Amino acid sequence: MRGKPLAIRAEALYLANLMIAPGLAFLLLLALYWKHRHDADPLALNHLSQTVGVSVAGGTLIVAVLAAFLLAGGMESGYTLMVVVLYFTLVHSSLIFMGVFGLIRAMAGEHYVYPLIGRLFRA
Amino acid sequence: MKYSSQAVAKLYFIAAIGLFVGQILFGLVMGLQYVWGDFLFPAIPFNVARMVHTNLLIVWLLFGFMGAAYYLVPEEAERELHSPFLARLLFWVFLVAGALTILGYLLVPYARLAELTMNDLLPTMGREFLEQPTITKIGIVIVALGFLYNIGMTILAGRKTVVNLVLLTGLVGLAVFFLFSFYVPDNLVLDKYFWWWVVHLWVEGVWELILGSILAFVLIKITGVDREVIEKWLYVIIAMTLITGIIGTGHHFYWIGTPEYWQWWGSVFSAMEPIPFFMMTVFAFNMVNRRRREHPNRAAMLWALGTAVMAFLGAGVWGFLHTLAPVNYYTHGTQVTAAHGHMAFYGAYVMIVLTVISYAMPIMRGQEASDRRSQVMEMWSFWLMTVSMVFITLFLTGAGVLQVWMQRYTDVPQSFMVVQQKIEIFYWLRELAGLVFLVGLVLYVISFFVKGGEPARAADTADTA
Ligand code: HEM
Ligand code: HEM
Ligand SMILES: [Fe+2]
Repeated sequence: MRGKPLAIRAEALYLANLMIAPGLAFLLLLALYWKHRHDADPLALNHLSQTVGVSVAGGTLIVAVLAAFLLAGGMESGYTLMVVVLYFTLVHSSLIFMGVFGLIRAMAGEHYVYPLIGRLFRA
Repeated sequence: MKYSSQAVAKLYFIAAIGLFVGQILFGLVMGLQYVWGDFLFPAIPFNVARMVHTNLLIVWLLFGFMGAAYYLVPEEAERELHSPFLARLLFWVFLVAGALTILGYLLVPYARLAELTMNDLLPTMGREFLEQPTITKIGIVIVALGFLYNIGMTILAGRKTVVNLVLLTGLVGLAVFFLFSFYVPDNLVLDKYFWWWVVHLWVEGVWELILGSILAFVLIKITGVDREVIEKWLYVIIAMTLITGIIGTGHHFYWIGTPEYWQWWGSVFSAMEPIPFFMMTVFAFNMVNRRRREHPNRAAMLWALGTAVMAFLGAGVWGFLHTLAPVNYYTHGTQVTAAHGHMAFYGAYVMIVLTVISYAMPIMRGQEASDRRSQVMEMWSFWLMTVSMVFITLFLTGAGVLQVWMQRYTDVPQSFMVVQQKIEIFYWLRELAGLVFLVGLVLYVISFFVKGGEPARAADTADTA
């Protein structure tokens, strides 16, 4: 598998990790990246590195900031829960929408760089 | 416009927008009553304002759906509407019945209205969203039947496209499930149970078919992508809607006295309900990305994409937020529900109606798209309304989470009104966001009625060609 199908699969796994199979889909994505890191063409490599990179960065962003909120606000406060819910919902759905754009670009055979964090990874 | 009879849609769209303005004004009244308890007391009590707000919403969306059908069915069927006269007649019947009902809510106490309309002969009044006097409900059924006959005959006699058939299925479903509003068992559990057959099976069932088909129609027109491609997407979307949404009704049967197995069925199936909304997002952006033409109506494209995004957020994300039984145990009937209700109704149904109006209205006025100035204004109104609805949702979610915590979750729960007092700030902020929404709506109305100047041509507005 090369090119477009591989790029599409990467984006689909990225989205699956956010929505239906958190963790599992990420492992599959990692495996896919590992397997094709040397033989993929530029399009597939672009989508593979973007999705892996943004999954890691996005996941860290969610976990680290939530941990910070919990530490700062304490577990015993409704305000902490409120901030946690709002933050998680906003970041999580933004990551989903970015994935939608990534998927559509992959389906069109185009490169894609995720907004903000995507710049750290292969274009 | 290909067929002159499509023009009946204009009436429906104008009425829809008029009632939309009314809906929002009453929303603002209630929003103020939340923080200023006796505002407009005793002229407009909260419960009356609430009834007017939600009933106007439903009625104007129905006007919008009917207008959309009268516009797109002839075009898809490639023939004139079966009876434009009937469409115009039913319009006036529906408008007068609707106006009388709203006036009834406002001018007489609800119990008196029930007496006046002889509710005891066939009692159907008093349930949320379905407060209409029985006689109004009968009127709605008659209008719906006449409407279905009219577009059904048009479709039967003409070209049968997937868009038309899905739309017709959705509209028939809308009418059929409305019949459950006449069935009011004495047993409160059964009463609630069947009430959801109207409310849930509408918004998470048949209305989604209407939404999908209107979106597909507009996308075919503005992107020029092959009909076959769009139809395939539509098929999969409606299949997922029905697979998840029908049994998903169970997410309303957790705590009303129905058997416990609903906690599993409801949770599992409704957790998958975001899938069709997610697919609509991918669908809309994908079609626009693959577009074969630059349609001069940029505003309509913005509305179409906005619908896909906001429906997924409001119904998909905010629906999922409270749909699992262990979560819903705490959030049931709190401001979390109201947050979701607002964003889902706005994102899915308000926006799809505004999408088709945005696309069809200029054409019915003899232009392919309205002039650039009025499009810019319309796009401003899009952003003002949409962003303020996001804020309304966020404030209500904030209020809801705190409410859950203080009133239900902690070891020392506080009473309802004490908690309401503590989260008052969020209600002020909601009202503020509501005022911005109103500004957006006023701009929308201006852009709608104040047209003129040179029609935009493709070359004027296409920036990515
Ligand atoms: C466009 C589609 C939708 C609309 C317009 C909509 C609207 C609403 C409204 C107005 C209510 C409040 C009903 C009431 O008690 O008065 C409600 C309740 C609810 N909705 Fe939705 N909804 C939609 C889709 C969804 C989806 C897809 C899900 C699940 C993923 C969902 C989950 C729920 C749940 C669990 C409740 C009950 C809340 C409670 O227990 O208080 N909704 N919805
Ligand atoms: C297009 C925009 C709007 C839509 C689609 C909409 C829809 C709805 C719906 C479906 C409900 C019932 C909610 C439920 O049962 O949980 C509702 C209630 C309500 N709406 Fe709106 N609304 C809109 C705009 C507004 C605005 C701008 C305001 C005020 C700033 C507002 C204030 C309220 C209030 C205060 C309630 C009553 C909530 C309660 O019973 O406690 N709405 N609206
Ligand atoms: Fe539901």
